[in-house]
Amino acid sequence: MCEEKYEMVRGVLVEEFELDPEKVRADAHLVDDLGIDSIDAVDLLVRLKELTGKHVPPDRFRSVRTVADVVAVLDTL
Amino acid sequence: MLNSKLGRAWRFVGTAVGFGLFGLGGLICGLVLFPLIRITVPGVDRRRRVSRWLVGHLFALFIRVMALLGAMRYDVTWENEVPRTRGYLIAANHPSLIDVVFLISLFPDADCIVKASLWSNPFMALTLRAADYISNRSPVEALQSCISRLQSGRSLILFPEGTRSVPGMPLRFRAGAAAVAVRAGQPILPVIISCDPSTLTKGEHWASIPPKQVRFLLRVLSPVDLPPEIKNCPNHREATSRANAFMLALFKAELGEGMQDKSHAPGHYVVQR
Repeated sequence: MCEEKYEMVRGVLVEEFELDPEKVRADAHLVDDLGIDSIDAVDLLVRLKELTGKHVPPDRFRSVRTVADVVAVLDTL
Repeated sequence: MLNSKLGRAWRFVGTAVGFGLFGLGGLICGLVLFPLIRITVPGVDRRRRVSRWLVGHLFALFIRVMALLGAMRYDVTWENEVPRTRGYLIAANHPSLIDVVFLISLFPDADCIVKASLWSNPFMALTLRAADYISNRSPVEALQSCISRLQSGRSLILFPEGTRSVPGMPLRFRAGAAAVAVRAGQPILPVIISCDPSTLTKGEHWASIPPKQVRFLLRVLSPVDLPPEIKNCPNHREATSRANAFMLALFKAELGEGMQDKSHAPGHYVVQR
Protein backbone atom coordinates (compact mmCIF):
# COMPACT_ATOMS: atom_id res chain seq x y z
CA MET A 1 0.00 0.00 0.00
CA CYS A 2 1.34 3.37 -1.04
CA GLU A 3 1.95 5.46 2.09
CA GLU A 4 1.47 8.76 0.29
CA LYS A 5 -1.91 7.73 -1.14
CA TYR A 6 -2.96 6.34 2.23
CA GLU A 7 -2.26 9.70 3.87
CA MET A 8 -4.20 11.47 1.12
CA VAL A 9 -7.28 9.28 1.59
CA ARG A 10 -7.01 9.64 5.37
CA GLY A 11 -6.72 13.40 5.00
CA VAL A 12 -9.86 13.60 2.88
CA LEU A 13 -11.84 11.43 5.29
CA VAL A 14 -10.73 13.37 8.36
CA GLU A 15 -11.11 16.84 6.89
CA GLU A 16 -14.06 16.58 4.52
CA PHE A 17 -16.15 14.23 6.61
CA GLU A 18 -15.00 15.49 9.98
CA LEU A 19 -14.10 12.01 11.17
CA ASP A 20 -12.05 11.18 14.23
CA PRO A 21 -8.42 10.67 13.01
CA GLU A 22 -8.09 7.83 15.55
CA LYS A 23 -10.85 5.89 13.84
CA VAL A 24 -9.60 6.37 10.28
CA ARG A 25 -7.21 3.43 10.05
CA ALA A 26 -6.30 1.24 7.09
CA ASP A 27 -8.59 -1.55 8.23
CA ALA A 28 -11.50 0.74 9.10
CA HIS A 29 -14.73 -0.27 7.33
CA LEU A 30 -16.07 2.72 5.41
CA VAL A 31 -19.75 2.04 6.06
CA ASP A 32 -19.76 0.27 9.43
CA ASP A 33 -16.92 2.07 11.18
CA LEU A 34 -16.89 5.48 9.52
CA GLY A 35 -20.54 5.93 8.56
CA ILE A 36 -19.75 6.75 4.92
CA ASP A 37 -23.00 6.44 2.97
CA SER A 38 -23.43 6.32 -0.81
CA ILE A 39 -23.72 10.12 -1.03
CA ASP A 40 -20.46 10.52 0.92
CA ALA A 41 -18.86 7.95 -1.38
CA VAL A 42 -19.75 10.08 -4.41
CA ASP A 43 -18.15 13.11 -2.75
CA LEU A 44 -15.11 11.05 -1.84
CA LEU A 45 -14.67 9.95 -5.47
CA VAL A 46 -15.00 13.53 -6.70
CA ARG A 47 -12.41 14.74 -4.18
CA LEU A 48 -9.98 11.93 -5.01
CA LYS A 49 -10.34 12.73 -8.69
CA GLU A 50 -9.48 16.37 -7.95
CA LEU A 51 -6.46 15.37 -5.88
CA THR A 52 -5.03 12.70 -8.17
CA GLY A 53 -6.06 14.30 -11.46
CA LYS A 54 -7.12 10.84 -12.58
CA HIS A 55 -10.59 9.64 -13.38
CA VAL A 56 -11.68 7.09 -10.81
CA PRO A 57 -13.98 4.58 -12.55
CA PRO A 58 -16.94 4.09 -10.18
CA ASP A 59 -17.33 0.39 -11.02
CA ARG A 60 -13.86 -0.24 -9.60
CA PHE A 61 -15.23 0.82 -6.24
CA ARG A 62 -17.90 -1.89 -6.08
CA SER A 63 -15.73 -4.22 -4.04
CA VAL A 64 -14.26 -1.48 -1.83
CA ARG A 65 -15.00 -2.02 1.87
CA THR A 66 -12.15 -0.51 3.87
CA VAL A 67 -9.82 2.49 3.73
CA ALA A 68 -7.05 0.17 2.51
CA ASP A 69 -9.30 -0.97 -0.36
CA VAL A 70 -9.68 2.65 -1.51
CA VAL A 71 -5.90 3.06 -1.51
CA ALA A 72 -5.53 -0.23 -3.41
CA VAL A 73 -7.85 1.05 -6.16
CA LEU A 74 -5.89 4.31 -6.38
CA ASP A 75 -2.67 2.29 -6.64
CA THR A 76 -3.94 0.58 -9.80
CA LEU A 77 -4.80 3.82 -11.62
CA MET B 1 -72.64 7.92 -12.45
CA LEU B 2 -69.18 6.40 -12.36
CA ASN B 3 -69.36 6.58 -8.56
CA SER B 4 -72.44 4.29 -8.33
CA LYS B 5 -72.25 0.56 -7.79
CA LEU B 6 -72.61 -0.08 -11.50
CA GLY B 7 -70.06 2.67 -12.16
CA ARG B 8 -67.59 0.94 -9.91
CA ALA B 9 -68.08 -2.31 -11.82
CA TRP B 10 -67.52 -0.40 -15.05
CA ARG B 11 -64.35 1.19 -13.66
CA PHE B 12 -63.15 -2.30 -12.77
CA VAL B 13 -63.62 -3.33 -16.39
CA GLY B 14 -61.96 -0.12 -17.61
CA THR B 15 -59.00 -0.58 -15.29
CA ALA B 16 -58.62 -4.22 -16.31
CA VAL B 17 -58.74 -3.32 -20.01
CA GLY B 18 -56.30 -0.42 -19.46
CA PHE B 19 -53.78 -2.51 -17.57
CA GLY B 20 -54.27 -5.39 -19.99
CA LEU B 21 -53.43 -3.11 -22.91
CA PHE B 22 -50.48 -1.75 -20.96
CA GLY B 23 -49.13 -5.26 -20.43
CA LEU B 24 -49.76 -6.20 -24.05
CA GLY B 25 -48.09 -2.98 -25.22
CA GLY B 26 -45.11 -3.71 -22.99
CA LEU B 27 -44.88 -7.21 -24.41
CA ILE B 28 -45.02 -6.01 -28.03
CA CYS B 29 -42.43 -3.32 -27.24
CA GLY B 30 -40.10 -5.67 -25.45
CA LEU B 31 -40.31 -8.49 -27.96
CA VAL B 32 -40.83 -6.70 -31.28
CA LEU B 33 -40.41 -2.93 -31.32
CA PHE B 34 -37.28 -2.53 -29.23
CA PRO B 35 -35.41 -5.43 -30.82
CA LEU B 36 -36.29 -3.76 -34.16
CA ILE B 37 -35.02 -0.40 -32.91
CA ARG B 38 -31.86 -2.10 -31.79
CA ILE B 39 -31.26 -3.50 -35.26
CA THR B 40 -32.39 -0.55 -37.36
CA VAL B 41 -31.37 2.56 -35.37
CA PRO B 42 -27.60 3.07 -35.21
CA GLY B 43 -25.91 4.83 -32.30
CA VAL B 44 -26.72 4.96 -28.60
CA ASP B 45 -27.87 8.59 -28.77
CA ARG B 46 -30.29 8.12 -31.61
CA ARG B 47 -31.57 4.88 -30.13
CA ARG B 48 -32.19 6.66 -26.86
CA ARG B 49 -34.11 9.48 -28.54
CA VAL B 50 -36.26 7.16 -30.65
CA SER B 51 -36.93 4.84 -27.70
CA ARG B 52 -37.93 7.64 -25.34
CA TRP B 53 -40.15 9.23 -27.95
CA LEU B 54 -41.92 5.89 -28.33
CA VAL B 55 -42.19 5.23 -24.58
CA GLY B 56 -43.49 8.77 -23.99
CA HIS B 57 -46.20 8.42 -26.64
CA LEU B 58 -47.25 4.97 -25.51
CA PHE B 59 -47.52 6.16 -21.90
CA ALA B 60 -49.56 9.17 -23.03
CA LEU B 61 -51.79 6.80 -24.96
CA PHE B 62 -52.26 4.57 -21.90
CA ILE B 63 -53.31 7.55 -19.79
CA ARG B 64 -55.78 8.73 -22.43
CA VAL B 65 -57.24 5.25 -22.77
CA MET B 66 -57.65 4.95 -18.98
CA ALA B 67 -59.40 8.33 -18.91
CA LEU B 68 -61.57 7.50 -21.93
CA LEU B 69 -62.65 4.25 -20.30
CA GLY B 70 -63.55 6.21 -17.17
CA ALA B 71 -61.08 4.29 -15.01
CA MET B 72 -59.80 7.69 -13.84
CA ARG B 73 -59.75 11.40 -14.64
CA TYR B 74 -56.75 13.63 -14.80
CA ASP B 75 -55.70 17.25 -15.19
CA VAL B 76 -52.29 18.72 -15.78
CA THR B 77 -51.63 22.34 -14.97
CA TRP B 78 -48.52 24.35 -15.79
CA GLU B 79 -47.73 27.30 -13.58
CA ASN B 80 -45.40 28.60 -16.28
CA GLU B 81 -44.04 27.64 -19.62
CA VAL B 82 -40.99 25.48 -18.98
CA PRO B 83 -38.18 26.23 -21.45
CA ARG B 84 -36.85 22.97 -22.88
CA THR B 85 -33.39 24.35 -23.45
CA ARG B 86 -31.89 23.22 -20.16
CA GLY B 87 -31.96 20.34 -17.75
CA TYR B 88 -34.22 20.23 -14.71
CA LEU B 89 -34.35 18.00 -11.73
CA ILE B 90 -38.01 17.07 -12.07
CA ALA B 91 -38.98 16.24 -8.49
CA ALA B 92 -42.39 14.77 -7.76
CA ASN B 93 -44.18 13.25 -4.82
CA HIS B 94 -45.18 9.66 -5.38
CA PRO B 95 -48.74 8.78 -4.37
CA SER B 96 -49.36 6.00 -6.90
CA LEU B 97 -47.91 3.35 -9.16
CA ILE B 98 -48.67 5.27 -12.34
CA ASP B 99 -47.06 8.64 -11.39
CA VAL B 100 -44.03 7.79 -13.46
CA VAL B 101 -46.25 7.02 -16.43
CA PHE B 102 -47.69 10.54 -16.21
CA LEU B 103 -44.26 12.12 -15.78
CA ILE B 104 -42.64 10.27 -18.68
CA SER B 105 -45.58 11.17 -20.92
CA LEU B 106 -45.07 14.84 -19.95
CA PHE B 107 -41.26 14.75 -20.11
CA PRO B 108 -40.36 11.99 -22.57
CA ASP B 109 -36.77 13.18 -22.96
CA ALA B 110 -36.00 12.99 -19.25
CA ASP B 111 -33.83 10.40 -17.58
CA CYS B 112 -35.24 8.37 -14.75
CA ILE B 113 -34.09 5.72 -12.33
CA VAL B 114 -35.50 2.24 -12.86
CA LYS B 115 -35.34 -0.47 -10.21
CA ALA B 116 -32.48 -2.92 -10.71
CA SER B 117 -34.82 -5.95 -10.70
CA LEU B 118 -36.64 -4.71 -13.81
CA TRP B 119 -33.42 -4.67 -15.85
CA SER B 120 -33.31 -8.46 -15.68
CA ASN B 121 -36.98 -8.78 -16.63
CA PRO B 122 -36.79 -10.22 -20.19
CA PHE B 123 -39.80 -8.21 -21.36
CA MET B 124 -38.39 -4.92 -20.15
CA ALA B 125 -34.63 -5.26 -20.41
CA LEU B 126 -34.32 -4.25 -24.07
CA THR B 127 -36.71 -1.33 -23.63
CA LEU B 128 -34.83 0.00 -20.62
CA ARG B 129 -31.45 -0.44 -22.24
CA ALA B 130 -32.54 1.22 -25.48
CA ALA B 131 -34.04 4.13 -23.55
CA ASP B 132 -30.79 4.33 -21.56
CA TYR B 133 -32.44 4.91 -18.20
CA ILE B 134 -30.46 4.68 -14.95
CA SER B 135 -30.38 1.50 -12.86
CA ASN B 136 -30.22 1.71 -9.08
CA ARG B 137 -28.14 -1.49 -8.83
CA SER B 138 -25.23 0.44 -7.37
CA PRO B 139 -26.35 3.51 -5.36
CA VAL B 140 -23.02 5.27 -5.87
CA GLU B 141 -23.07 4.79 -9.64
CA ALA B 142 -26.75 5.78 -9.84
CA LEU B 143 -26.04 9.01 -7.94
CA GLN B 144 -23.09 9.77 -10.19
CA SER B 145 -25.14 9.15 -13.34
CA CYS B 146 -27.90 11.42 -12.04
CA ILE B 147 -25.43 14.22 -11.38
CA SER B 148 -23.47 13.91 -14.60
CA ARG B 149 -26.54 13.60 -16.83
CA LEU B 150 -28.11 16.68 -15.24
CA GLN B 151 -24.88 18.59 -15.66
CA SER B 152 -24.78 17.65 -19.33
CA GLY B 153 -28.07 19.52 -19.73
CA ARG B 154 -30.52 16.62 -19.62
CA SER B 155 -33.54 16.48 -17.34
CA LEU B 156 -34.03 13.83 -14.71
CA ILE B 157 -37.18 12.59 -12.99
CA LEU B 158 -36.74 11.76 -9.30
CA PHE B 159 -39.13 10.87 -6.50
CA PRO B 160 -37.46 12.32 -3.40
CA GLU B 161 -39.51 9.97 -1.21
CA GLY B 162 -37.58 7.09 -2.79
CA THR B 163 -40.71 4.96 -2.73
CA ARG B 164 -44.45 5.46 -2.89
CA SER B 165 -46.16 7.67 -0.30
CA VAL B 166 -48.08 6.06 2.51
CA PRO B 167 -51.55 7.66 2.66
CA GLY B 168 -52.17 9.50 5.90
CA MET B 169 -48.50 9.51 6.91
CA PRO B 170 -46.41 12.68 6.90
CA LEU B 171 -44.34 13.25 3.79
CA ARG B 172 -40.71 12.13 4.16
CA PHE B 173 -37.86 12.62 1.71
CA ARG B 174 -34.73 10.53 1.57
CA ALA B 175 -31.48 12.38 1.04
CA GLY B 176 -30.73 11.17 -2.51
CA ALA B 177 -32.66 13.77 -4.52
CA ALA B 178 -31.37 16.63 -2.36
CA ALA B 179 -27.82 15.32 -2.73
CA VAL B 180 -28.23 15.30 -6.52
CA ALA B 181 -29.79 18.78 -6.49
CA VAL B 182 -26.89 20.24 -4.52
CA ARG B 183 -24.17 18.60 -6.59
CA ALA B 184 -25.68 19.01 -10.06
CA GLY B 185 -26.58 22.66 -9.51
CA GLN B 186 -29.52 22.59 -11.92
CA PRO B 187 -32.94 24.07 -11.11
CA ILE B 188 -35.63 21.93 -9.55
CA LEU B 189 -38.94 21.56 -11.37
CA PRO B 190 -41.46 20.51 -8.72
CA VAL B 191 -44.45 18.48 -9.81
CA ILE B 192 -47.17 18.14 -7.20
CA ILE B 193 -49.21 15.01 -7.80
CA SER B 194 -52.45 14.36 -6.05
CA CYS B 195 -54.64 11.40 -6.44
CA ASP B 196 -58.07 11.39 -4.83
CA PRO B 197 -59.07 8.91 -3.52
CA SER B 198 -55.72 7.21 -3.11
CA THR B 199 -55.11 4.30 -5.43
CA LEU B 200 -52.32 1.96 -6.56
CA THR B 201 -50.26 2.64 -3.47
CA LYS B 202 -47.45 0.31 -2.48
CA GLY B 203 -48.71 -3.25 -2.08
CA GLU B 204 -52.19 -2.37 -3.32
CA HIS B 205 -53.57 -4.62 -6.04
CA TRP B 206 -54.66 -3.01 -9.31
CA ALA B 207 -58.09 -4.57 -8.93
CA SER B 208 -58.89 -2.89 -5.60
CA ILE B 209 -61.10 -0.28 -7.24
CA PRO B 210 -61.78 2.78 -5.05
CA PRO B 211 -65.45 3.60 -4.31
CA LYS B 212 -65.14 6.90 -6.15
CA GLN B 213 -63.62 7.60 -9.57
CA VAL B 214 -59.95 8.50 -9.09
CA ARG B 215 -58.89 11.96 -10.08
CA PHE B 216 -55.25 12.74 -10.71
CA LEU B 217 -54.05 16.31 -10.65
CA LEU B 218 -50.50 17.09 -11.69
CA ARG B 219 -49.32 20.62 -11.04
CA VAL B 220 -46.07 21.51 -12.73
CA LEU B 221 -44.75 24.46 -10.74
CA SER B 222 -42.19 27.04 -11.87
CA PRO B 223 -38.55 25.94 -11.73
CA VAL B 224 -36.82 26.89 -8.49
CA ASP B 225 -33.15 27.19 -7.66
CA LEU B 226 -31.79 26.16 -4.32
CA PRO B 227 -31.12 29.30 -2.23
CA PRO B 228 -27.48 30.47 -2.59
CA GLU B 229 -26.74 29.86 1.10
CA ILE B 230 -27.48 26.18 0.54
CA LYS B 231 -25.74 25.99 -2.84
CA ASN B 232 -22.60 27.61 -1.48
CA CYS B 233 -22.52 25.78 1.82
CA PRO B 234 -19.00 24.32 1.98
CA ASN B 235 -19.98 21.28 4.03
CA HIS B 236 -21.61 18.80 1.65
CA ARG B 237 -23.45 16.84 4.28
CA GLU B 238 -24.97 19.99 5.71
CA ALA B 239 -25.85 21.29 2.22
CA THR B 240 -27.64 18.02 1.47
CA SER B 241 -29.71 18.05 4.63
CA ARG B 242 -30.61 21.72 4.18
CA ALA B 243 -31.55 21.14 0.53
CA ASN B 244 -33.69 18.23 1.66
CA ALA B 245 -35.46 20.39 4.23
CA PHE B 246 -35.97 23.09 1.58
CA MET B 247 -37.55 20.66 -0.88
CA LEU B 248 -39.66 18.99 1.78
CA ALA B 249 -40.99 22.35 2.97
CA LEU B 250 -41.88 23.28 -0.61
CA PHE B 251 -43.85 20.07 -1.15
CA LYS B 252 -45.51 20.19 2.26
CA ALA B 253 -46.66 23.75 1.63
CA GLU B 254 -48.20 22.67 -1.68
CA LEU B 255 -49.71 19.44 -0.42
CA GLY B 256 -50.87 20.66 2.97
CA GLU B 257 -51.12 18.42 5.98
CA GLY B 258 -52.19 14.84 5.46
CA MET B 259 -50.66 15.01 1.99
CA GLN B 260 -53.96 15.72 0.33
CA ASP B 261 -53.46 18.34 -2.35
CA LYS B 262 -55.00 21.55 -1.02
CA SER B 263 -55.92 22.84 -4.43
CA HIS B 264 -57.98 19.86 -5.39
CA ALA B 265 -60.80 22.13 -6.42
CA PRO B 266 -60.77 22.62 -10.19
CA GLY B 267 -57.55 24.36 -11.18
CA HIS B 268 -57.27 28.10 -11.38
CA TYR B 269 -54.68 27.92 -14.12
CA VAL B 270 -55.65 24.87 -16.08
CA VAL B 271 -53.59 24.62 -19.24
CA GLN B 272 -53.68 21.27 -20.96
CA ARG B 273 -50.68 20.52 -23.06
